[in-house]
Parts: sequence; structure tokens; C-alpha cells
Amino acid sequence: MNTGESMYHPTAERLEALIEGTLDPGEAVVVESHVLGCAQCETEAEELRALFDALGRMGHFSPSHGFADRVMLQVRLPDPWYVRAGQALQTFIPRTRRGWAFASSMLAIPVVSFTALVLWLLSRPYVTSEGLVAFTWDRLSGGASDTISELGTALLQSNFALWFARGVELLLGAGVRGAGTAAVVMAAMMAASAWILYKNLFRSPNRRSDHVSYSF
Amino acid sequence: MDYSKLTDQEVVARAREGRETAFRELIGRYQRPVFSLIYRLVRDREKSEDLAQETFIKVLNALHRYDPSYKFSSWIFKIAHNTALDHLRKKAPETLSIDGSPHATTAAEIEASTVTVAGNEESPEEYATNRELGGILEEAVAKLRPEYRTAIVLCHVEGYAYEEIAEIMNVPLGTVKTYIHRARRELQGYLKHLRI
Repeated sequence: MNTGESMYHPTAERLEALIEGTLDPGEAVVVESHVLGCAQCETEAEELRALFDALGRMGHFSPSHGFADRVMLQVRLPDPWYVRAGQALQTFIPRTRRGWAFASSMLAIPVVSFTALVLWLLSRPYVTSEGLVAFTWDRLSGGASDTISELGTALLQSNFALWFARGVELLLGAGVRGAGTAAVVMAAMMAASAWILYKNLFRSPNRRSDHVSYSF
Repeated sequence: MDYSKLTDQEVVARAREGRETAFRELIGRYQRPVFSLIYRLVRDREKSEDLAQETFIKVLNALHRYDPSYKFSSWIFKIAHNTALDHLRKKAPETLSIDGSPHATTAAEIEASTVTVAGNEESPEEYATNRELGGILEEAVAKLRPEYRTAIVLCHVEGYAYEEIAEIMNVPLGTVKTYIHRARRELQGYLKHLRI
């Protein structure tokens, strides 16, 4: 391009852009028409095309067999969501026997107390399950905040509440059989609570002799 | 699960959830392009494998820091390019051999005054490497500066646009254009007599 007519030749960059197809359409027409009429530029363009073609044919090399396995050996896989959720929950799990005993009692007390209260109330001749549900609903809708009330209403109006009430009614209507079933349920709950307390208060892998005095 | 129909971003999202198959899919997609880029820069198969492995370990262990608005392929090539350049910068001079003192008169003196540093001979692995990379075009590409090599490979082999190459190489767009233009000129010069 160092001829006397170099000012008419497209620059090397424009020639490359033409071959690459990145020139504006208008400019491409101008350059292309010049290339068609200029032997020097045509040769240059042909060489560039050949180079582009050869470079485009350059392939990929493959790493040796087992490459992925070697990489995976050193990659730290993030824990799945359920493991992360479990780890988050673990922060709430007591770490000492006293902690376990406290948590177990805290869980057992309201469950047992509430169940006992409900059963006692329903054993009264003037209390029915529908009445109890209606009373609770009335209390909730009257005294609690709107949000709690709405939640309570939804719960009480659900099929679950109806089934629960019918279940309790059936249990009580069954007479001696119902009382026996209730006793079995209560006994099972008490046994479960006792087992949790025993496991966490008195049972230890490194059981020492001074703990032997405790018996269950 | 068939990952082949998922985009890189979708596969990365599953890898972040801890699915090993998603990690393997990413390795499968990029092991050849990444290894090829590094191999063309380093020209040592064993070292290139180590560097490619290092690249993947860096990338996969840092997936939680990956910004999905950025192309995953650009990110991995950027790390591969930097890893290879770091290696080239740290690399000791390949060969230094001085054939004895000019004042030496006996064979023993010549041998005693001969200095040879680091692998002057071609090992079987190097021989295999040189054969593999021995194509005329590969040889010509190998003569380019590493920056030119990366730019040319990303442009012509991987098909990246100049803007993306600038992002990967962390240089201005104008610099990339210059790299590629000069690389093409040099390649034309090397290959002229061969009529590729």
C-alpha cells in the first residue's frame, strides 16, 4: 500500500473489518468495490481471507483422561439446602443434658397441660366439643388482635378443626372404651416424655459411677 | 437431569445448590477451550493441565461470588488467561547454556567452565508437546507475544467479540484491536512463504 495511489487504498484495518464483516454496509460496498478493481488490495484481501480461514480451523486440545475427576477432588461442594437448613436448626438444639432436660420439659409441659385441660373440660357434663370450639373462637375473635383472630378463624373453620372436634366427641361418646383410649394416649405421651428425660438426664456414653445412684 | 439444554447461568445456579453433576457439566463444557487457551500460551502439556486444573478449582470454589449478569465463559477465560500469564511471568529462563570459557584449553577445563541451567534437552513429554503444537499455524501463533496469542485465540477460535476480549483481558477496546491487528500482520509475515 505504499504506492503513489495509497490514499485511495483502504487501510489494513478497514480491509480486515471487511473480511470480518464488521464494516458498515455502506462502507463495505465502497471498500469491496475498490478491492474488486485493485489487484494489490485483492491479493491482500485474499491473504487475509486465507489467514482467517486457517485460524478458524484451529481446534481445541483435550486435557488427559480423568481431568474432571482431578478437579472435583479439590472442589468444595456447597451443602444442599436441606443440609444448610439442618445446620441452621442445629443452633437451636441444646448441647448439654441440662439443656435437653429443660427443652423437653418446656415442650412437654404445655402439650400435656393443654391436653389434660381439654380432656378435663370435655369430661364436664355441661361442656361439649362444639361449645368449646365456639367459646375459643369467640374469645379469639373478641380479645386477640385482628391477625391472630383471622388465623384462628381460618384454623377453626378448617376441616381439621371439625375432624378434631368429631374425633374428641367420638372418643368421649365411646364410654369406657373412649376413656381407655384417652388413657393409652396420655400414657404414651408420658412415656415419651419420660424417655426423653431419661435419655438426656441420666444416660451418657461416659457414664460415671456417681450417676449410677440415679435409677428410673 | 439433562443439563445439556440449560444455559451456563442455569447450570451455575444448580451448582450453587451443591449439585455435583452441575459442577461436572461446567467442567465438561469448558475443559477443552480453557485447556487449549492455556496450552497455546504455555506450550507445555503437563504444566497446562496443572494450570487448567488450577483455573477450574479457582472458578468452582468461587461460584458464590460469580455475578450472573456477567458471561460465565468470559469469567472463566479471564481467570485462565490471568493464571497462565502469572505462570509465564514467574517462569525462570528456559535455557541458559554457555559452552565453556574461551580460555579453557583442555576438555576438563571446558567441561568445568560450562554452565547449563534448567532442562536443555527435550524430554519425551516436550517432544510430544512440540509435535502436537507443531502445525505450521500453531508454530506461527506460538511466535506471537502471549497477549497477541490470547487475543487471536479468543477472537478466531472461540469467536468472541472485541468488547468481550477486552473484558477478559482487562485492557481497553483499542488495545485489543491493536493486538489483533498486529497479531494478524505478524502471522501473515510468518506464513507468507508457505502460502497457507
